[in-house]
Amino acid sequence: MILYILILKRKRRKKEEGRAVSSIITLNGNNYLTTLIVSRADTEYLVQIIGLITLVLSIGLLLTLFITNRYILNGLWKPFYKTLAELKSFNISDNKSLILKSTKVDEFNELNDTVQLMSLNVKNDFQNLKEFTENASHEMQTPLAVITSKLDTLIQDETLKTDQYEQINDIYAATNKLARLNQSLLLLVKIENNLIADIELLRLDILIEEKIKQFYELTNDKQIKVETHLAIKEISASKYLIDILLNNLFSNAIRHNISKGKLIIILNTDKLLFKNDGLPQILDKSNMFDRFKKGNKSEGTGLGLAIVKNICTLNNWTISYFHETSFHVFKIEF
Amino acid sequence: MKLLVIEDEQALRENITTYFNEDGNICESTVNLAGAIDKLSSYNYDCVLLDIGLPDGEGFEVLNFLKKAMKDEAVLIISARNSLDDKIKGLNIGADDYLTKPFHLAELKARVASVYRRKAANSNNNIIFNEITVNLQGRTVEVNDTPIILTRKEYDMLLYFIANKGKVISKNAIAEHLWGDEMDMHNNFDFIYTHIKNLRKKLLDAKCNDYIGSVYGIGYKFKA
Repeated sequence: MILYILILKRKRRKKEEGRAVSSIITLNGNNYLTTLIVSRADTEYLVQIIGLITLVLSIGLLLTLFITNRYILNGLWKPFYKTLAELKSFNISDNKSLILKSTKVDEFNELNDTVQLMSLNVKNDFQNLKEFTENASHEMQTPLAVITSKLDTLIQDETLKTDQYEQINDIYAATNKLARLNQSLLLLVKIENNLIADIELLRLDILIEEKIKQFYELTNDKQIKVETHLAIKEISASKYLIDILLNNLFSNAIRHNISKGKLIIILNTDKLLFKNDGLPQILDKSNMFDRFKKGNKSEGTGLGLAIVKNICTLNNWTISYFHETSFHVFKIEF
Repeated sequence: MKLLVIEDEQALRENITTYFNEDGNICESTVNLAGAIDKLSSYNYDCVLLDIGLPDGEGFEVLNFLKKAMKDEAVLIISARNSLDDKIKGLNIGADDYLTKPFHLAELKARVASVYRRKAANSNNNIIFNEITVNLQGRTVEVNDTPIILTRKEYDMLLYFIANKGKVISKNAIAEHLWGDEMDMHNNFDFIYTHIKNLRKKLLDAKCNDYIGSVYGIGYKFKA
């Protein structure tokens, strides 16, 4: 029989754990109760010591791990984070290609090479696609010229009836729209490729004044009252593109204006505002600058505002639209 | 006026030749660079209409040739490329104007007339059409020696009509000429109607003959 008992040590008067076995032994006809006790105090002490050592070692190990991670591994992973940062800043439509430095670690080198190759392929594909757009648009110009010149010749025949003339007129209109679409697409490609580089210093206020004169007949016909508050503002940009930007903003503001409406142009050193009267409906802000997104009543190509936005982006300006009392407002922040 | 059309697209070439020939001009044509150089080395022309994209080379070669041979033909480039670089390059090496395809024949004619006038050495800066006298320098117009005051667009339109006298001009072509790159006019031709009405009224008020006739359904005609 095995028993766990607690024995009382007289000297220390303290309870200690131990193990005991007691049995009855018969010796020379007498029965003796014998108990064997082994103290467990030593083992317990041992366990405590081992626990403590393990704990200290673990903490020490963790601390070392933390420190190594922090200072040594960080340095080791540096090339990886660099690659990651480069990838994050990678822009497919940028002209500069992804350049990754080689490192001492083979695995990272392999990663960099693969990423670099991939980015190069993606860029080439993208470039090809853009070139295709450009070439396709160019190739379309000549057939369009043929259609237009054939129509121009056809209408010289004055024996044509009015309804035949009207049919021809519709063909003219469609051809004209196609030609404009084509030109706008080409322009977009050029802006995105940053191919227009005739940057010069321009006085925006003077350009706006000129545009107002240029559009005088149109505003006059619609009896639109043009109001300006122009401060002197110099910008460095392509004159060609700024001309297009202003043309698009003006035509928008005139075309969507109401008869006897108002057009207010405000130019500060930090922003340009085009406010125009128009139908009271609020336009959809979310995608109005996207390609081929246009209002129900608009007969334009749907590329005008996309071009405006791209010109702004190229010059690091932001453009936004909002509705203010009765005005539709386009705001460009320099 | 003697013209040379250098254009590889047959349909376009024929149309241009026909349109210009009807007016008593002599209009010859060629399809490629070699033919153009050939013709230009043997004959003199008043004006050359030059396509940049030719099958056997770039049209710029023609300009270089003219420069080297010290010939003073007026050159108008007609190109499918609406590229600023091409435009600048062409004008720098001696072209007088640059027109992007597609264009209206009436526009081409007006441009040729203007280029030709500029180039003609004995130009007295006046265009005289019957009783109408246009002074190009001062941008003024007189009818029977009575000055009339025209707006910029009306003046442009009058020149355009005179250059295309006797031709039916579509409203599209007029809109394109007047507003061109400035604005996408779509199918709204009210603007043109107003301008033509005003121009006609001003001319009639000055006892001018009524040259501007409407061709119902399509456009206008300036009667020669």
